[in-house]
Amino acid sequence: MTENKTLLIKHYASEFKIILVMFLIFTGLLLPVSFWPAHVCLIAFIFIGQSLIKIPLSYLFRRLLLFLPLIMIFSVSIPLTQGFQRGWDITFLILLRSTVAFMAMLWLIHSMTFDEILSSFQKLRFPPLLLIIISFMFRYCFILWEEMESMRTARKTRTFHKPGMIENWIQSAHLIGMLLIRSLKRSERIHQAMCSRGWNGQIHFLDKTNK
Amino acid sequence: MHIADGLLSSEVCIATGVISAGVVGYGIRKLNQSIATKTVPLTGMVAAIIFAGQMINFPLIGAPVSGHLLGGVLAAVILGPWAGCLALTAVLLVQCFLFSDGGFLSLGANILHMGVVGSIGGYAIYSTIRHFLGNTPKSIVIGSVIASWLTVMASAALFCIEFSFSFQNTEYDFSRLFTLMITFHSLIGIGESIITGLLVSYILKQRPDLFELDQTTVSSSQIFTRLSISGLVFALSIAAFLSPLASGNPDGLEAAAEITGINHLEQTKEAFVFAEYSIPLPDFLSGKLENWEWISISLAGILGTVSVFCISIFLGSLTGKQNEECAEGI
Amino acid sequence: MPSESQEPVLNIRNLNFQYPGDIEALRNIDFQVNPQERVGIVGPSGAGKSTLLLHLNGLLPEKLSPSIPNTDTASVSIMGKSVSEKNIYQIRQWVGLLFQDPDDQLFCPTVEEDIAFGPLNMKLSQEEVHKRISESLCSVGLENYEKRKTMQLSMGERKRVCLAGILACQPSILVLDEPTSNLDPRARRRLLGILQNFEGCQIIATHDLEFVVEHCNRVILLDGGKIHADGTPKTVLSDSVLMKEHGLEVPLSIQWKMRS
Repeated sequence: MTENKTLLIKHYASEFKIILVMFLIFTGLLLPVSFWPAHVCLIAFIFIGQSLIKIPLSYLFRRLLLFLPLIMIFSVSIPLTQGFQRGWDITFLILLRSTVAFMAMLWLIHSMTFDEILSSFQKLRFPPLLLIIISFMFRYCFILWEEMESMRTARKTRTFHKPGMIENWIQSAHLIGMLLIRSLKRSERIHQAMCSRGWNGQIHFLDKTNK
Repeated sequence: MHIADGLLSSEVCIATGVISAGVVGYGIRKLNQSIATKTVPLTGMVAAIIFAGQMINFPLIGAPVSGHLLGGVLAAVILGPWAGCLALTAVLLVQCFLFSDGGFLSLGANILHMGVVGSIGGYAIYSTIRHFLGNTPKSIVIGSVIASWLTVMASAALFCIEFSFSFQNTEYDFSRLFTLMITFHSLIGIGESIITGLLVSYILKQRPDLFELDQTTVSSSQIFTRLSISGLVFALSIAAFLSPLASGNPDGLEAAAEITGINHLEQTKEAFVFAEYSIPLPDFLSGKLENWEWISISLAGILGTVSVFCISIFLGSLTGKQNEECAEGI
Repeated sequence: MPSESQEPVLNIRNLNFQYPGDIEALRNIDFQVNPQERVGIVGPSGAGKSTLLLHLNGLLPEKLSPSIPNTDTASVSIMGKSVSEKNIYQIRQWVGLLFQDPDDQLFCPTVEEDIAFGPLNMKLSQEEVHKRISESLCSVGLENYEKRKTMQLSMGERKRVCLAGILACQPSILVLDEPTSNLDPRARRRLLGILQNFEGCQIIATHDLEFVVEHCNRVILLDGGKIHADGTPKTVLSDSVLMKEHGLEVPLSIQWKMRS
């Protein structure tokens, strides 16, 4: 491979990954149930990809264990509604297709950092407003999570009985509400901080590749 | 709650994706036109709250599952319909690409359900109720509660419709599936509306200024748009309830078909449950379905081969890159 | 004493301000600041310090309530230009404002993006922006921090990155709101060193009176939205009656000096 080509590949690697995963999922979706060996091959192929980027098996297993039962419940409900007479094809098909898609997505999100995903969105011409909102959200959801944990702890230290369901619901709603009010104030301060650095509503991005 | 990939066929994924992209694109254009520079941090923050809020469990006694906030109506109540839709879109994108929660190709359907129906439809219902009940705190809470329940029902109905387009309905009993989905979702909807109601009433107590209680009256054309959108959502959720009942009773269905004069649809073996609402789609689809299967198989073959080939070529360099990153991280 | 020959960089005349539905936050604020001056603004919590600082950057006039009669005569002007809708972007380039909570200011996922925010808004070229990022990180002692995640930084590092983000805009006036709060002694010392190196006017609102004694050459005591004292740190901060009256304390360093 020439120098230029490798550069091109490196430059667009993340976009390629996203588009390839999309192709893979599409392939899974387009294949009918009679082609199930193809599905299995795809799953095996993605699994090899996953082991190449060293996704721990235990993690994979745990994620699948959380994911598959949900799909199973839904897909089994199709034969269930007709007395288990018909519809097993669809159950089988849904299971195959969603496993392909889920495995492919796991591969994608583990082979890229969030920054890479965001910058490839940028290269794939996502609207800048959406991008800046996403980067904002990503930045602040961790702070919110910390804030929420500390509020929860503060609440626990002053709770002296096991709350009932209704009480629990009200408390949880108040927790989110309090978080919301605090964060709206924070977003006002952020807006001020942005304005003080010359923000006028136009969105500019830093070109990270040229260094 | 999110639709995973594999539940909907590729055509439906593309169609919902196009609709959602159109609506979100329109929303972005609308927001770009507005001069308020505040929308960006505010929308981002509300998106973060919905994201964090979805992780808080609302336990159900005696059940191993627990509910959580969906947030479409909440975002719309605070941000307005367009920014609310955008916030939900951001949440769904991050959930998809960070936690693989909800499918990649069904992202369009997810945005359609939670962003478009949840936020824009929800806001239409909420503001209509608020308009007719008067601008009191009570009407705000009632409006948001009703809007949350209706939007959940409407998304469930929408999902059933999408599902029916995805699989040939000779293979399964559509109406029973529909009943199952609707029953299940009416419970989810109750949970969502209680959570939203509690939240909105709490915020109302603390920061009433967020709701512009002294809002000036809206123009009649706006009311018309809102009325029509909320009518649409309302009809969808009503349909969700009526259609399984109607089609569960074959006489009822036949009678309806006779009356509306569309009983020829029955003969095409595409007895579509919305026949009584005179959607002429099955006729158009039935001819193409056989061709489509072959097209889809060949398309799958091409796409599959190409992508496998490409991945095989790139895997080496990509994994190399990943290792470098790991080394950097350590 | 301010010399007459110099043009004041900051000129506040008869400034009043009221938050909607609240008591007056600022009353008849009137002072001038000369270039090279380092002004410490001290006072109890809720004295209006932060409100005053926001005015210096034109962040509040939109909220000015019409109920206050003398808003026409009031003016804040910076480098001879009044803070108004027309000059606002120019003034925000001149004035760098550091907020109390660095999390409010660092809203981008990575350090370099955050520092680039200001310069990019000034429509500088990408090369120039990259140059400014490395320069400003260098000046706050955080070389090679470009790719770091803002979430993973310590409190002191966050403050310094915030400062770098402001320095990248090359302001001539630095306005700091509680720069030393939540910092451990080492981080505080470092910040002090960075600020000592900044040439230009600095306006610092703080509760850290030792910091004022060490760093500033002028102190303004603000309480209840009014200026109660204006002078050198030694004269103002050593007045124990005045300090007690406004909920403050004479800093230990001055107490010791007075005793010995």
